[in-house]
Order: sequence, then C-alpha cells, then structure tokens
Amino acid sequence: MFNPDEDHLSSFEERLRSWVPSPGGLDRDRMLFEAGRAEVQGTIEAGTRANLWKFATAAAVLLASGLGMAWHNERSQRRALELTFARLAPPPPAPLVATPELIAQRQEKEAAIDPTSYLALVQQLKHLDATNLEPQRTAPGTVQRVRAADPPRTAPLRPRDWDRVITL
Amino acid sequence: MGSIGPELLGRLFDAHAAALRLYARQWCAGSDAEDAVQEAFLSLARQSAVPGQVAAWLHRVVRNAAISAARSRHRRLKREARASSGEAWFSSVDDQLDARSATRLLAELELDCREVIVARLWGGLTFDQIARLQGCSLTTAHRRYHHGLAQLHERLERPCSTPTKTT
Repeated sequence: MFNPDEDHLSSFEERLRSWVPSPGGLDRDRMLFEAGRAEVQGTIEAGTRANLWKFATAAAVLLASGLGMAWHNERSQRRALELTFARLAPPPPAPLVATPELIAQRQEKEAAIDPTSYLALVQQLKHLDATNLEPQRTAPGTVQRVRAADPPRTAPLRPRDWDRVITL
Repeated sequence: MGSIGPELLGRLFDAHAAALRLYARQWCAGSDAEDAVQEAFLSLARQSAVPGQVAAWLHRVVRNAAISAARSRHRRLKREARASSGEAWFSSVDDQLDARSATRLLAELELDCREVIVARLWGGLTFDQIARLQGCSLTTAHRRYHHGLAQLHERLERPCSTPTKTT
C-alpha cells in the first residue's frame, strides 16, 4: 500500500507532474479575439445603456417641471377666481337683534292668522296632549272658538271615519 | 479588455489553459471542456480588476461551467460518445506509460479524489484553495489527495496481469 508520508511521495508527485495535459482544441488567438470582441460589444452596450439613462433622466426632469408649472398656473387661476367671487358677493346680513319693534311685529303676525287656516290648526295641535288629545293649555281667543266647533269625542277615532278625519 | 490587457491574458492562458482543460474534463467532454475554459478567460477579460488568486478563480469558473455543461442531457450523451472514442487527456507522459493508459488510470479514480489531484498537481492550487472549491474541509481535501495518489500509485506499480498465450 502506498504511504503518502514516505519520501517517495514527492518523487511520485513529480512523475505525475511531468505528464503534460493536452491543450486539445484550445486556441490562444481565438480566445484573445473573442475577448476583444466581447469588450467592444460591452462598450457599445454600456454606451447605449448610459445614453438611455441620460435620456430617461432628462425626460423625467422635463415631465416634473411641466407638471409643476401646470400646478402653479392652476393654483394661481383658482386664487384669482376666489378673489373675484369674494369681491362680487353681497355683504353678509347683519345679525338679528330682538328689538321691541320686531317682537311687536311678530305678535301682530300671529294675531292675524285666520282661525280656520292650516297654520292655526297646527298651532292648535301643538298645544294638545298626544295621548288623549286633550288640550294641555288653553289658548285664548281663536283656539277656544275652533274647539267649540269640534264634534263630541265619545267614540274613538276609526280609520273609516272619513268625516271626522277631515273635520279634524 | 477592462484592466486586464491582452498580454497578461495571453500569459495567463499559456500558463493555465491546458491544466484548466484537464480539470474541466473531469465533468464534461473535450469540446465542452474547451468551451468552459474559453468562457472562463472571457469572464476574466471582463473583470474590472485581476482577481487576487487568479488560478483559483479560473478553476472555480471552469468548474461551474463544466458541471453546468455536464448537467445537460444532450451534452452528456455527446460526452459519452466522445468518451468511448478514448481521447487522451495528456499530450505526453513519461516513458513508462502511454497517454491513453495514463488517462484511463486517472479516469478510474473517484471524482472527488481525481479533482483534488488534478487541481493540485496540474492546476498548482493549494489545499486551502481546493477545499474552498470543493466546499469541504482542509482535512478532507488532504485525505482525498492522498487516497487518490495511493490508488494511482498502486495501479501504476501493479504488474501487468495480461495472460500470455502459450502453446
């Protein structure tokens, strides 16, 4: 059995080293030619890539500046329009103050309501109790006259009592 | 050619190409091995700087390319056809042996041992570089080397057992 630790290891290695590997079909000139061609192609591709990046960068800058200008124009137009509208708008109404004259006018309006009108009826209903339809408060004057015209409420109100509903 | 000039590339080719072809032959046929070596030198030409351990770098590139080529079914069939033709891996051996016998002896070794021996003896790599190439420990690389050498030695020293025909 061969022992690699012995001295003849180096001599055997030397013998193996003396065997010359076959270069086969390897060609030095072909390799150098291919390397040169690959370098030229790489240079062209790199140049194209660099130009592409430059073009893309310039296009992006142009697009960004155009969008910025458009935004600025739109904003200034909007501001000008807002100022124009603000100038044309009427002044805001003065806040209402409960002066004695206004109170007197309102009371006159309320007193001038026809007792048979819908508005008088609504005002009358506002004073009725929702459960028994009995008035909680007695309204003076016109309300009493309206109540005197009501039919007697002995029977409950039915859906087919059209006359009572209408006269309500 | 990047920072590697044609003169340096030519010198590296002269120094390593044949050994690299022999190294690639461990996995693939002759033409594929030559393609692998060619691609390795083209890759070297494209590098921006010369790798620190250029021989180990070339062996790694050739190894990857040769293994990749060997994985192709079509190329494997071609390799088998070419292997049957018995192309010698060496152009010249010693006077006690012919090139075909040396190729056969080397080819009979296990792939791991053969790879270490080829990378060490003809590629000139250190055991550390070989261990990194194979992805094994330094001890394993040593063991494979010595085991392969022992097998080779045994087969080389084996007496010829061809029976002689006597009448």
